[in-house]
Amino acid sequence: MTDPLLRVENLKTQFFTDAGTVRAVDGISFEVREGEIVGLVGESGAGKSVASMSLLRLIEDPGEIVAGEITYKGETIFGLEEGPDGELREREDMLSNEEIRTQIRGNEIAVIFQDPMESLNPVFTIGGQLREFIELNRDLPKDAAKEEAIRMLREVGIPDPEQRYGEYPHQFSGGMRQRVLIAMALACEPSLIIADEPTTALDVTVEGQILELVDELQDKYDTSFLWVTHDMGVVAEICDRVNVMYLGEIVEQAPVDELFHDTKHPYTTALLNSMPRPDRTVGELEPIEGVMPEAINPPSGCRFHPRCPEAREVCQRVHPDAREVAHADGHPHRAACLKHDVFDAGYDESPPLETATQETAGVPAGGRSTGGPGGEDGATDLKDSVIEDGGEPTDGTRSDDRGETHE
Amino acid sequence: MEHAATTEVRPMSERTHTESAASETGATEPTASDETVLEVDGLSKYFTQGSGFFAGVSLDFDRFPPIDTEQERVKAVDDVSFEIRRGETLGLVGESGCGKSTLGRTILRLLEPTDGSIYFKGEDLADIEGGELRDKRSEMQMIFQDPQSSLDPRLKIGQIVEEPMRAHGMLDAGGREQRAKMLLEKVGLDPHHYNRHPHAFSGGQRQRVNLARALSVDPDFIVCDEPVSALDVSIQAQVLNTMEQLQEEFGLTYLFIAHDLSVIRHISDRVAVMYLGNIVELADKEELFENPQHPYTEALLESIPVPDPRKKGARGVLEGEVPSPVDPPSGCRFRTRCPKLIAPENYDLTDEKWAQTRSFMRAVKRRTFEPMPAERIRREFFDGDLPRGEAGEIVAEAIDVLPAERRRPDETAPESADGWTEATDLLLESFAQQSICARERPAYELEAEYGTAPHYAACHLHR
Ligand code: SF4
Ligand code: SF4
Repeated sequence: MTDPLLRVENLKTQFFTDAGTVRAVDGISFEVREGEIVGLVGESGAGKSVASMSLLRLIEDPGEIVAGEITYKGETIFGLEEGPDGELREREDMLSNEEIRTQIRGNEIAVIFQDPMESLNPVFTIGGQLREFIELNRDLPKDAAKEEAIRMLREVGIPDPEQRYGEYPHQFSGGMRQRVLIAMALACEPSLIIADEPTTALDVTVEGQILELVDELQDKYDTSFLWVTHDMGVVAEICDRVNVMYLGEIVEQAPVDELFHDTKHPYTTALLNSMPRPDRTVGELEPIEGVMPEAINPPSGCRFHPRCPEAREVCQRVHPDAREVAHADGHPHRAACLKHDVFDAGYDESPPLETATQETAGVPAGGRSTGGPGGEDGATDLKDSVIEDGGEPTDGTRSDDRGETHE
Repeated sequence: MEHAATTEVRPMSERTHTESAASETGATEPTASDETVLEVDGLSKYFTQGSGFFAGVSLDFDRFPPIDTEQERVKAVDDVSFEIRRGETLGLVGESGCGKSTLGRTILRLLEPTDGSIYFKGEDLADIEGGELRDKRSEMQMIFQDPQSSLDPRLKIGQIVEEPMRAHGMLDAGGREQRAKMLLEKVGLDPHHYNRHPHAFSGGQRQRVNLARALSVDPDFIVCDEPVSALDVSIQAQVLNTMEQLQEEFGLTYLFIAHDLSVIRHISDRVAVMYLGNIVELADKEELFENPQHPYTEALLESIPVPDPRKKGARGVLEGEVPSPVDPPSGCRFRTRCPKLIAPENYDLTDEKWAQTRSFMRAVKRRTFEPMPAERIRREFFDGDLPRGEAGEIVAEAIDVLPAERRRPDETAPESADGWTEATDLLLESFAQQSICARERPAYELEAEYGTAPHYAACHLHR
């Protein structure tokens, strides 16, 4: 298999607030390959938007990427190494802010946000903004850029583009503005588009139009997408592979068919069971108990254990990382759940937990005594997969010389 | 302009409804049975352009103010009729701007109706005034989408829940507290939260507080306006389940307004679909979802992304955008986008040629293609063969006036823009406006395949 377009490894993004450290993204790894639409799905607070914004280093103070590696076409967007004093510092080969801005953003990786008004300037015409963008990024003279802008507007389905070229953003409907943003994103023919809930604010028929458009454009330009959404329907509709996030972590990663039809993580299962369906009448919904806790003080062991219907005693103590539990379609199917054999954590022998009474239940300390993942996975995995209740992970230490990574 | 040909056909009611002022509506006695909690008949709500959405909110507003016909009026809700039976949930679904929220608010008289009647338990709400209306209102409650902004952050949960009881002079202080605590428990909150402030609550919990508040005055009927759309799916399910339990326990009747068809399918007994101020289809839930009979409903259903990758069949993509409610299309309001717009009878068109003519007409109207030579238009839109007879002559004429070449980007070329407009006008006048879809307002009652309730569909395909 060829190298992935984008590779994210053990990414951690944290926010340093008065109340404490919010571990918004806590060690996620995933890839996007050429021509793929990869989903990053989760409920609010799962960390999916922070994760996607980290990819272009768009995290603002008090947030910071504190660990991990992001590579795009072999270039290092983010990477740390240990300095002579054992301190973490940015790697030599990491792209500078300037390089990210001029070489990557727009040209190579474009972003489409949920609210197009945030990306469009209300006092300039749609056409003017698009033309200028093309002029700047593609080095075209004004006339040619205008022609290209009109062509792009037509391409994304804006009716009467010559006329609408001269109109202002507020004269466009939400769906039309989102089309303009897609036109802008495509204008520089990027290889990857990060789409952060781009259809969430739209009506369902407009959403349908946009999804159709994305399909067509993707066929034509072979652009890859990282599609960030909370909507499992949209995921099923357009994604090739999916990453499910819960409380800062990727808990399941699979090709789309496996995710829905051979689900391996109890959170994904619970999410699917809690949804009303458009295609059939569901007698009773099965909600997930409780609410997602805050990322400032995540539960010990498996972060889903206070709400998990399959939780056992061991789940309070052992923190599962996402491991390959099956293989499908040439891709790994990963899940971060101790019930799978590869974890060898003593799940089967462990007594079930009563989910309802759990939230306040005291967790016995010193959780390492029974079982614990060892064996074939070796010591490195052990270090990562067991985090003591409340203990700060050692690799989350913040280094001081990294202030300049932010704009 | 083209409204003259519109025929008025009303779905639910046999009564002839006079376009009268409120004082006269009492003349028609409601025929509501015991089971009908709410009946809406020919209800309209227009807003005067520029006066803003909230111009009509004031409760002391003069009823049915004289309307200056010269002003542009937004027909947010236009001649809507339906009824809701006791204990039932009527789902009201539609996209933004279709008028569903305005309809909900108008029913509760938070907005003054422009026309039509609302009967609550057989009584015409227009006939009752002041204090009596306030009493009635305690029997009808509303919960809104955004639980954050609808709870006063300065008040404690207990005060919030008791507020409607105080306003209606219900119980004494001790009784109110007792009832508030009982209701907190019923909606799935801890009664000990009585003294907390809403900011300590999650979105789902706040919506529960709203439920408790709505229930405090012991209503029969609750208008729920997008009550779960701000919530994450897992929380949504919790709140939906609670709403169903409460409905059973308190014998509530819901008008459940939402844009999410999955939620609507789950919660409703019957479903009404709204488009541009009109109800276009109304049927039992199962019937509506499994046997939709209106092209708009079909398009909606085909657009929803289904959470199952094995079901990604054809995505129904609806062309164009919703027209302005200031000047809605005559006849069927969906006709400007309808993929099944019926061929005008005055031409001899085969289905195939009509389909081609229809897409060509819309492509010209929306200017979705670049100017091209006539030959290429014939090839791309008509497979090289124009329709026969008069229809073909009209199409040929339209192609003729279209600019054949692309103008340079800096050229303003007024003639070519005129060409598009001229062709558009010609095609619309000759085809779109000749269709029965433009000439008569559709309203048909069909036999249902699922269940026994009548199936109403506003579409001339059923003529
Ligand atoms: S590890 Fe335990 S608590 Fe976590 S998802 Fe698996 S079964 Fe549930
Ligand atoms: S009446 Fe005509 S335009 Fe309206 S939905 Fe039916 S076929 Fe379409």
